[in-house]
Amino acid sequence: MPNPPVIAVVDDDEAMRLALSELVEVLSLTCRDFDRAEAFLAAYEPQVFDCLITDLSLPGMCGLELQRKLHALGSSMPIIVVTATSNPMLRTRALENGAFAYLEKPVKDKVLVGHIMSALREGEAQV
Amino acid sequence: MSKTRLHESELPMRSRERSVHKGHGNGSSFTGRERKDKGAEFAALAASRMQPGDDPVHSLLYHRALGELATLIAHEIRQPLSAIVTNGETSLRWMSRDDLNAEKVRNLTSRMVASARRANDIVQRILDMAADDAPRHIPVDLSDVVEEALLLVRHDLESEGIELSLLIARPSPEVLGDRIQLQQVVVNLLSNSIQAIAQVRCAKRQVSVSVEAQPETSAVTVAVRDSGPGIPDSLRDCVFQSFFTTKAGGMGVGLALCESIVVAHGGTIAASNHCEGGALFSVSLPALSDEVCAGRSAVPSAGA
Repeated sequence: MPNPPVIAVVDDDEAMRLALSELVEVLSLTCRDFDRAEAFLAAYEPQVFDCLITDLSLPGMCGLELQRKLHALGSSMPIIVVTATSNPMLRTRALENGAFAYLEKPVKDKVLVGHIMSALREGEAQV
Repeated sequence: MSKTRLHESELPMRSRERSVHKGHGNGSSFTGRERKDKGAEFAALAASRMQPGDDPVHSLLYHRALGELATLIAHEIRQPLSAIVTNGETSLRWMSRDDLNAEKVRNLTSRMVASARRANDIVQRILDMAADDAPRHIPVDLSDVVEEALLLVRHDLESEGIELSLLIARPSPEVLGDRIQLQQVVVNLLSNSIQAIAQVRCAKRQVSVSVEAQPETSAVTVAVRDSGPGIPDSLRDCVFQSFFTTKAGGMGVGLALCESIVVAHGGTIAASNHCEGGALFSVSLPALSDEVCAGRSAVPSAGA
Protein backbone atom coordinates (compact mmCIF):
# COMPACT_ATOMS: atom_id res chain seq x y z
CA MET A 1 0.00 0.00 0.00
CA PRO A 2 1.48 3.36 -0.98
CA ASN A 3 2.13 5.89 1.74
CA PRO A 4 -0.91 8.01 2.51
CA PRO A 5 -0.73 11.58 1.21
CA VAL A 6 0.82 14.10 3.60
CA ILE A 7 -1.06 17.28 4.39
CA ALA A 8 0.68 20.23 6.02
CA VAL A 9 -1.27 22.55 8.32
CA VAL A 10 0.10 26.01 9.16
CA ASP A 11 -1.86 27.95 11.78
CA ASP A 12 -0.56 29.90 14.77
CA ASP A 13 -3.76 29.20 16.69
CA GLU A 14 -3.02 25.96 18.50
CA ALA A 15 -6.61 24.83 18.96
CA MET A 16 -7.41 25.42 15.31
CA ARG A 17 -4.17 23.77 14.16
CA LEU A 18 -4.92 20.63 16.17
CA ALA A 19 -8.54 20.60 15.02
CA LEU A 20 -7.47 20.73 11.37
CA SER A 21 -4.90 17.99 12.01
CA GLU A 22 -7.53 15.76 13.55
CA LEU A 23 -9.84 16.32 10.63
CA VAL A 24 -7.06 15.33 8.24
CA GLU A 25 -6.36 12.24 10.31
CA VAL A 26 -9.94 11.04 10.38
CA LEU A 27 -9.69 10.99 6.58
CA SER A 28 -6.84 8.47 7.00
CA LEU A 29 -4.34 10.99 5.67
CA THR A 30 -1.08 11.96 7.35
CA CYS A 31 -0.82 15.43 8.83
CA ARG A 32 2.16 17.54 9.86
CA ASP A 33 1.39 20.81 11.58
CA PHE A 34 3.39 24.01 11.96
CA ASP A 35 2.73 27.12 14.03
CA ARG A 36 4.51 29.48 11.65
CA ALA A 37 5.23 29.83 7.95
CA GLU A 38 9.00 29.82 8.63
CA ALA A 39 8.78 26.46 10.41
CA PHE A 40 6.98 24.96 7.45
CA LEU A 41 9.50 26.38 4.95
CA ALA A 42 12.34 24.86 6.98
CA ALA A 43 10.68 21.44 6.65
CA TYR A 44 9.65 21.94 3.06
CA GLU A 45 11.14 19.76 0.35
CA PRO A 46 9.71 19.06 -3.08
CA GLN A 47 7.41 15.99 -3.17
CA VAL A 48 7.22 15.70 0.63
CA PHE A 49 3.83 17.38 1.08
CA ASP A 50 0.84 16.75 -1.10
CA CYS A 51 -1.25 19.70 0.03
CA LEU A 52 -0.89 22.72 2.30
CA ILE A 53 -3.66 24.17 4.47
CA THR A 54 -2.59 27.57 5.76
CA ASP A 55 -3.92 30.53 7.71
CA LEU A 56 -3.18 33.98 6.31
CA SER A 57 -2.52 36.03 9.39
CA LEU A 58 0.55 34.48 10.97
CA PRO A 59 3.30 35.85 13.19
CA GLY A 60 6.31 36.75 11.06
CA MET A 61 5.83 35.62 7.48
CA CYS A 62 2.16 35.81 6.50
CA GLY A 63 0.27 33.24 4.45
CA LEU A 64 0.43 35.26 1.23
CA GLU A 65 4.20 35.62 1.54
CA LEU A 66 4.50 31.89 2.17
CA GLN A 67 2.49 31.29 -0.98
CA ARG A 68 4.86 33.52 -2.99
CA LYS A 69 7.96 31.87 -1.50
CA LEU A 70 6.67 28.41 -2.41
CA HIS A 71 5.87 29.58 -5.89
CA ALA A 72 9.41 30.98 -6.22
CA LEU A 73 10.75 27.60 -5.12
CA GLY A 74 8.90 26.07 -8.06
CA SER A 75 6.34 24.29 -5.90
CA SER A 76 3.08 23.20 -7.50
CA MET A 77 1.68 21.84 -4.23
CA PRO A 78 -1.97 22.91 -3.93
CA ILE A 79 -2.57 25.50 -1.20
CA ILE A 80 -5.87 25.80 0.64
CA VAL A 81 -6.25 29.04 2.61
CA VAL A 82 -8.34 28.86 5.79
CA THR A 83 -8.66 32.21 7.49
CA ALA A 84 -10.77 34.11 10.00
CA THR A 85 -10.27 37.30 8.03
CA SER A 86 -13.14 38.10 5.72
CA ASN A 87 -11.39 40.49 3.38
CA PRO A 88 -12.36 40.31 -0.30
CA MET A 89 -9.03 41.82 -1.33
CA LEU A 90 -7.05 39.11 0.44
CA ARG A 91 -9.25 36.48 -1.16
CA THR A 92 -8.64 37.91 -4.61
CA ARG A 93 -4.92 38.17 -4.00
CA ALA A 94 -4.64 34.61 -2.69
CA LEU A 95 -6.63 33.18 -5.59
CA GLU A 96 -4.72 35.25 -8.14
CA ASN A 97 -1.50 33.91 -6.65
CA GLY A 98 -2.78 30.44 -7.40
CA ALA A 99 -4.42 29.30 -4.16
CA PHE A 100 -6.45 26.14 -4.73
CA ALA A 101 -9.24 27.39 -2.44
CA TYR A 102 -9.95 30.21 -0.02
CA LEU A 103 -12.15 29.31 2.93
CA GLU A 104 -13.33 31.42 5.84
CA LYS A 105 -13.44 30.19 9.43
CA PRO A 106 -15.48 28.54 10.73
CA VAL A 107 -15.07 26.22 7.78
CA LYS A 108 -17.54 23.44 6.99
CA ASP A 109 -15.80 20.09 7.14
CA LYS A 110 -17.56 18.84 3.99
CA VAL A 111 -16.32 21.84 2.05
CA LEU A 112 -12.75 21.56 3.31
CA VAL A 113 -12.64 17.80 2.81
CA GLY A 114 -14.00 18.24 -0.71
CA HIS A 115 -11.20 20.68 -1.51
CA ILE A 116 -8.52 18.48 0.06
CA MET A 117 -9.70 15.50 -1.97
CA SER A 118 -9.85 17.36 -5.26
CA ALA A 119 -6.45 18.96 -4.54
CA LEU A 120 -4.99 15.50 -4.03
CA ARG A 121 -6.63 14.19 -7.22
CA GLU A 122 -5.22 17.11 -9.14
CA GLY A 123 -1.76 16.53 -7.69
CA GLU A 124 -1.96 12.84 -8.66
CA ALA A 125 -2.97 13.70 -12.19
CA GLN A 126 0.06 15.93 -12.53
CA VAL A 127 2.55 13.25 -11.54
CA MET B 1 -2.04 65.23 13.65
CA SER B 2 -0.03 66.16 16.70
CA LYS B 3 -2.95 64.99 18.79
CA THR B 4 -2.88 61.54 17.21
CA ARG B 5 0.80 61.22 17.92
CA LEU B 6 0.25 62.26 21.49
CA HIS B 7 -2.09 59.32 22.05
CA GLU B 8 0.40 56.89 20.59
CA SER B 9 3.13 58.17 22.83
CA GLU B 10 0.90 57.28 25.77
CA LEU B 11 0.62 53.67 24.67
CA PRO B 12 3.06 52.13 27.12
CA MET B 13 1.09 53.59 29.99
CA ARG B 14 -2.07 51.93 28.85
CA SER B 15 -1.24 48.43 27.86
CA ARG B 16 -4.11 46.62 29.45
CA GLU B 17 -5.80 45.98 26.16
CA ARG B 18 -2.94 43.62 25.39
CA SER B 19 -4.52 41.10 27.72
CA VAL B 20 -7.34 40.72 25.24
CA HIS B 21 -4.91 39.59 22.61
CA LYS B 22 -3.17 36.96 24.65
CA GLY B 23 -4.08 33.62 23.22
CA HIS B 24 -3.10 30.27 24.60
CA GLY B 25 0.60 29.56 24.21
CA ASN B 26 1.40 30.17 20.61
CA GLY B 27 -2.28 29.96 19.88
CA SER B 28 -2.65 33.71 19.84
CA SER B 29 -4.81 34.66 16.93
CA PHE B 30 -3.86 38.24 16.19
CA THR B 31 -0.57 38.51 14.54
CA GLY B 32 2.31 40.77 13.80
CA ARG B 33 1.63 44.19 12.43
CA GLU B 34 -2.10 43.79 12.27
CA ARG B 35 -2.29 43.05 15.98
CA LYS B 36 -0.18 46.02 16.92
CA ASP B 37 -2.09 48.39 14.68
CA LYS B 38 -5.47 47.41 16.03
CA GLY B 39 -4.17 47.43 19.56
CA ALA B 40 -2.71 50.84 18.97
CA GLU B 41 -5.96 52.29 17.80
CA PHE B 42 -7.87 50.95 20.70
CA ALA B 43 -5.11 52.06 23.03
CA ALA B 44 -5.47 55.52 21.58
CA LEU B 45 -9.08 55.40 22.66
CA ALA B 46 -8.29 53.98 26.08
CA ALA B 47 -5.33 56.28 26.64
CA SER B 48 -7.31 59.38 25.90
CA ARG B 49 -10.21 57.99 27.91
CA MET B 50 -12.33 59.96 25.54
CA GLN B 51 -11.40 63.42 26.69
CA PRO B 52 -13.23 65.05 23.84
CA GLY B 53 -11.52 68.32 23.04
CA ASP B 54 -12.79 69.84 19.83
CA ASP B 55 -10.38 68.01 17.58
CA PRO B 56 -12.26 66.37 14.70
CA VAL B 57 -9.34 63.99 14.14
CA HIS B 58 -9.75 62.73 17.66
CA SER B 59 -13.48 62.29 17.21
CA LEU B 60 -12.89 60.34 14.03
CA LEU B 61 -10.23 58.22 15.70
CA TYR B 62 -12.60 57.44 18.52
CA HIS B 63 -15.37 56.25 16.21
CA ARG B 64 -12.91 54.27 14.14
CA ALA B 65 -11.33 52.71 17.19
CA LEU B 66 -14.73 51.43 18.29
CA GLY B 67 -15.23 49.78 14.90
CA GLU B 68 -11.74 48.31 14.99
CA LEU B 69 -12.36 46.99 18.47
CA ALA B 70 -15.52 45.21 17.35
CA THR B 71 -13.61 43.61 14.45
CA LEU B 72 -10.82 42.56 16.77
CA ILE B 73 -13.17 40.96 19.27
CA ALA B 74 -15.05 39.16 16.49
CA HIS B 75 -11.80 37.80 15.07
CA GLU B 76 -10.50 36.77 18.48
CA ILE B 77 -13.66 34.87 19.42
CA ARG B 78 -14.06 33.30 15.98
CA GLN B 79 -10.79 31.34 16.47
CA PRO B 80 -11.95 29.10 19.33
CA LEU B 81 -15.42 28.85 17.78
CA SER B 82 -13.89 27.59 14.54
CA ALA B 83 -11.87 25.02 16.45
CA ILE B 84 -15.06 23.85 18.20
CA VAL B 85 -16.88 23.48 14.87
CA THR B 86 -14.05 21.50 13.27
CA ASN B 87 -13.52 19.29 16.33
CA GLY B 88 -17.25 18.63 16.55
CA GLU B 89 -17.50 17.69 12.91
CA THR B 90 -14.41 15.49 13.20
CA SER B 91 -16.00 13.74 16.21
CA LEU B 92 -19.10 13.05 14.14
CA ARG B 93 -16.93 11.57 11.41
CA TRP B 94 -15.24 9.27 13.94
CA MET B 95 -18.57 8.20 15.33
CA SER B 96 -19.89 7.24 11.93
CA ARG B 97 -16.83 5.13 11.18
CA ASP B 98 -16.87 1.39 11.73
CA ASP B 99 -13.65 1.59 13.75
CA LEU B 100 -15.10 4.14 16.20
CA ASN B 101 -12.22 5.44 18.27
CA ALA B 102 -13.63 6.38 21.66
CA GLU B 103 -10.30 7.79 22.83
CA LYS B 104 -10.22 10.16 19.85
CA VAL B 105 -13.76 11.28 20.45
CA ARG B 106 -12.97 11.87 24.12
CA ASN B 107 -9.93 13.99 23.18
CA LEU B 108 -11.86 15.98 20.62
CA THR B 109 -14.64 16.57 23.09
CA SER B 110 -12.29 17.83 25.79
CA ARG B 111 -10.70 20.15 23.25
CA MET B 112 -14.11 21.50 22.37
CA VAL B 113 -14.68 22.20 26.06
CA ALA B 114 -11.28 23.90 26.31
CA SER B 115 -11.98 26.07 23.27
CA ALA B 116 -15.41 27.01 24.58
CA ARG B 117 -13.78 28.05 27.86
CA ARG B 118 -11.24 30.05 25.94
CA ALA B 119 -13.99 31.89 24.06
CA ASN B 120 -15.59 32.61 27.40
CA ASP B 121 -12.26 33.79 28.83
CA ILE B 122 -11.96 36.26 25.98
CA VAL B 123 -15.41 37.60 26.74
CA GLN B 124 -14.49 37.80 30.43
CA ARG B 125 -11.28 39.70 29.68
CA ILE B 126 -13.21 42.20 27.64
CA LEU B 127 -15.62 42.65 30.53
CA ASP B 128 -12.68 42.99 32.95
CA MET B 129 -11.12 45.55 30.68
CA ALA B 130 -14.31 47.55 30.74
CA ALA B 131 -14.43 47.22 34.54
CA ASP B 132 -10.79 48.38 34.79
CA ASP B 133 -12.01 51.71 33.63
CA ALA B 134 -13.83 51.85 36.93
CA PRO B 135 -16.21 54.76 37.01
CA ARG B 136 -14.88 57.69 38.97
CA HIS B 137 -17.75 59.37 40.70
CA ILE B 138 -17.11 63.03 41.22
CA PRO B 139 -19.35 66.09 41.24
CA VAL B 140 -20.18 66.82 37.62
CA ASP B 141 -22.06 69.68 36.02
CA LEU B 142 -24.35 68.07 33.44
CA SER B 143 -24.24 71.26 31.35
CA ASP B 144 -20.51 70.72 30.86
CA VAL B 145 -21.16 67.08 30.00
CA VAL B 146 -23.72 68.09 27.38
CA GLU B 147 -21.45 70.69 25.84
CA GLU B 148 -18.55 68.24 25.65
CA ALA B 149 -20.80 65.62 24.09
CA LEU B 150 -21.99 68.14 21.51
CA LEU B 151 -18.41 68.71 20.43
CA LEU B 152 -18.16 65.02 19.58
CA VAL B 153 -21.24 64.98 17.37
CA ARG B 154 -20.94 68.50 15.97
CA HIS B 155 -19.68 67.23 12.63
CA ASP B 156 -22.51 64.74 12.31
CA LEU B 157 -25.04 67.48 13.04
CA GLU B 158 -23.48 69.73 10.45
CA SER B 159 -23.17 67.11 7.75
CA GLU B 160 -26.85 66.16 8.17
CA GLY B 161 -27.88 69.81 8.11
CA ILE B 162 -29.47 69.56 11.54
CA GLU B 163 -30.19 72.66 13.56
CA LEU B 164 -29.31 72.49 17.23
CA SER B 165 -31.39 74.12 19.91
CA LEU B 166 -29.73 74.25 23.30
CA LEU B 167 -31.42 75.21 26.56
CA ILE B 168 -28.93 75.40 29.37
CA ALA B 169 -28.77 77.71 32.38
CA ARG B 170 -25.46 77.91 34.17
CA PRO B 171 -24.43 76.88 36.62
CA SER B 172 -26.76 73.90 36.71
CA PRO B 173 -26.96 71.66 39.78
CA GLU B 174 -24.20 69.11 39.98
CA VAL B 175 -24.68 65.36 40.06
CA LEU B 176 -22.33 62.71 41.36
CA GLY B 177 -21.09 60.67 38.42
CA ASP B 178 -18.45 59.54 36.00
CA ARG B 179 -17.95 62.34 33.52
CA ILE B 180 -16.85 60.07 30.67
CA GLN B 181 -19.73 57.64 31.11
CA LEU B 182 -22.28 60.43 31.30
CA GLN B 183 -20.76 61.95 28.18
CA GLN B 184 -21.20 58.58 26.52
CA VAL B 185 -24.89 58.62 27.43
CA VAL B 186 -25.42 62.04 25.88
CA VAL B 187 -23.35 61.20 22.79
CA ASN B 188 -25.39 58.02 22.27
CA LEU B 189 -28.69 59.88 22.63
CA LEU B 190 -27.52 62.58 20.24
CA SER B 191 -26.25 60.04 17.70
CA ASN B 192 -29.54 58.24 17.95
CA SER B 193 -31.45 61.45 17.23
CA ILE B 194 -29.17 62.36 14.34
CA GLN B 195 -29.68 58.93 12.80
CA ALA B 196 -33.44 59.13 13.30
CA ILE B 197 -33.50 62.39 11.36
CA ALA B 198 -31.08 61.12 8.74
CA GLN B 199 -33.42 58.18 8.04
CA VAL B 200 -36.22 60.38 6.79
CA ARG B 201 -36.43 63.31 4.42
CA CYS B 202 -38.19 65.67 6.74
CA ALA B 203 -38.29 69.40 6.18
CA LYS B 204 -37.67 70.19 9.81
CA ARG B 205 -34.27 68.92 10.92
CA GLN B 206 -33.77 69.83 14.50
CA VAL B 207 -32.33 68.40 17.71
CA SER B 208 -33.16 70.12 20.99
CA VAL B 209 -31.13 69.51 24.11
CA SER B 210 -31.98 70.86 27.52
CA VAL B 211 -30.55 70.59 31.00
CA GLU B 212 -33.09 71.33 33.65
CA ALA B 213 -33.19 71.22 37.43
CA GLN B 214 -36.22 69.47 38.91
CA PRO B 215 -36.50 70.90 42.42
CA GLU B 216 -39.57 68.81 43.28
CA THR B 217 -37.71 65.55 42.68
CA SER B 218 -34.21 66.81 43.56
CA ALA B 219 -33.05 65.72 40.16
CA VAL B 220 -31.40 67.14 37.10
CA THR B 221 -32.84 66.18 33.74
CA VAL B 222 -31.14 66.11 30.38
CA ALA B 223 -33.65 65.89 27.55
CA VAL B 224 -32.82 65.17 23.92
CA ARG B 225 -35.61 65.67 21.43
CA ASP B 226 -35.45 65.22 17.69
CA SER B 227 -37.64 66.05 14.71
CA GLY B 228 -37.42 62.52 13.36
CA PRO B 229 -40.27 60.05 12.86
CA GLY B 230 -40.60 59.26 16.57
CA ILE B 231 -40.80 55.83 18.16
CA PRO B 232 -43.62 53.55 16.95
CA ASP B 233 -45.84 52.64 19.91
CA SER B 234 -45.18 48.96 19.40
CA LEU B 235 -41.46 49.50 19.90
CA ARG B 236 -41.60 51.84 22.88
CA ASP B 237 -40.80 49.04 25.32
CA CYS B 238 -37.93 47.61 23.30
CA VAL B 239 -35.70 50.59 22.68
CA PHE B 240 -33.49 50.04 25.70
CA GLN B 241 -33.06 46.32 25.11
CA SER B 242 -29.63 45.12 24.06
CA PHE B 243 -29.31 44.28 20.39
CA PHE B 244 -32.58 45.96 19.54
CA THR B 245 -32.09 48.14 16.49
CA THR B 246 -34.03 49.49 13.54
CA LYS B 247 -30.87 50.64 11.80
CA ALA B 248 -29.23 48.74 8.97
CA GLY B 249 -25.81 47.87 10.33
CA GLY B 250 -26.79 48.98 13.83
CA MET B 251 -25.65 46.91 16.78
CA GLY B 252 -28.45 47.84 19.13
CA VAL B 253 -26.16 48.54 22.04
CA GLY B 254 -26.26 52.35 22.21
CA LEU B 255 -29.46 52.88 24.15
CA ALA B 256 -29.00 49.74 26.22
CA LEU B 257 -25.62 51.11 27.29
CA CYS B 258 -27.25 54.44 28.13
CA GLU B 259 -29.76 52.74 30.34
CA SER B 260 -27.20 50.69 32.22
CA ILE B 261 -24.99 53.73 32.83
CA VAL B 262 -27.92 55.83 34.00
CA VAL B 263 -29.23 53.10 36.30
CA ALA B 264 -25.72 52.66 37.75
CA HIS B 265 -25.84 56.35 38.59
CA GLY B 266 -29.12 55.94 40.45
CA GLY B 267 -31.04 57.69 37.72
CA THR B 268 -33.79 56.95 35.24
CA ILE B 269 -34.06 57.14 31.47
CA ALA B 270 -37.30 57.36 29.52
CA ALA B 271 -38.26 57.29 25.87
CA SER B 272 -41.42 58.89 24.57
CA ASN B 273 -42.79 60.81 21.64
CA HIS B 274 -43.16 64.54 21.88
CA CYS B 275 -46.70 65.86 21.36
CA GLU B 276 -45.43 67.93 18.45
CA GLY B 277 -43.68 64.96 16.87
CA GLY B 278 -40.27 63.34 17.12
CA ALA B 279 -38.75 61.20 19.84
CA LEU B 280 -37.93 62.52 23.28
CA PHE B 281 -35.37 60.87 25.51
CA SER B 282 -34.92 62.16 29.02
CA VAL B 283 -32.34 61.22 31.59
CA SER B 284 -32.85 62.19 35.23
CA LEU B 285 -30.05 61.95 37.77
CA PRO B 286 -30.18 62.73 41.48
CA ALA B 287 -28.87 66.22 42.19
CA LEU B 288 -25.84 66.25 44.42
CA SER B 289 -27.22 68.74 46.88
CA ASP B 290 -30.88 69.40 47.65
CA GLU B 291 -30.21 73.00 48.62
CA VAL B 292 -28.51 73.73 45.34
CA CYS B 293 -31.34 72.20 43.44
CA ALA B 294 -34.09 73.80 45.45
CA GLY B 295 -32.57 77.23 45.09
CA ARG B 296 -32.75 77.29 41.35
CA SER B 297 -34.89 76.40 38.42
CA ALA B 298 -32.31 76.22 35.70
CA VAL B 299 -34.23 76.80 32.51
CA PRO B 300 -37.68 77.57 31.30
CA SER B 301 -39.50 74.35 30.58
CA ALA B 302 -38.02 72.73 27.51
CA GLY B 303 -41.38 71.30 26.59
CA ALA B 304 -41.01 67.82 28.01
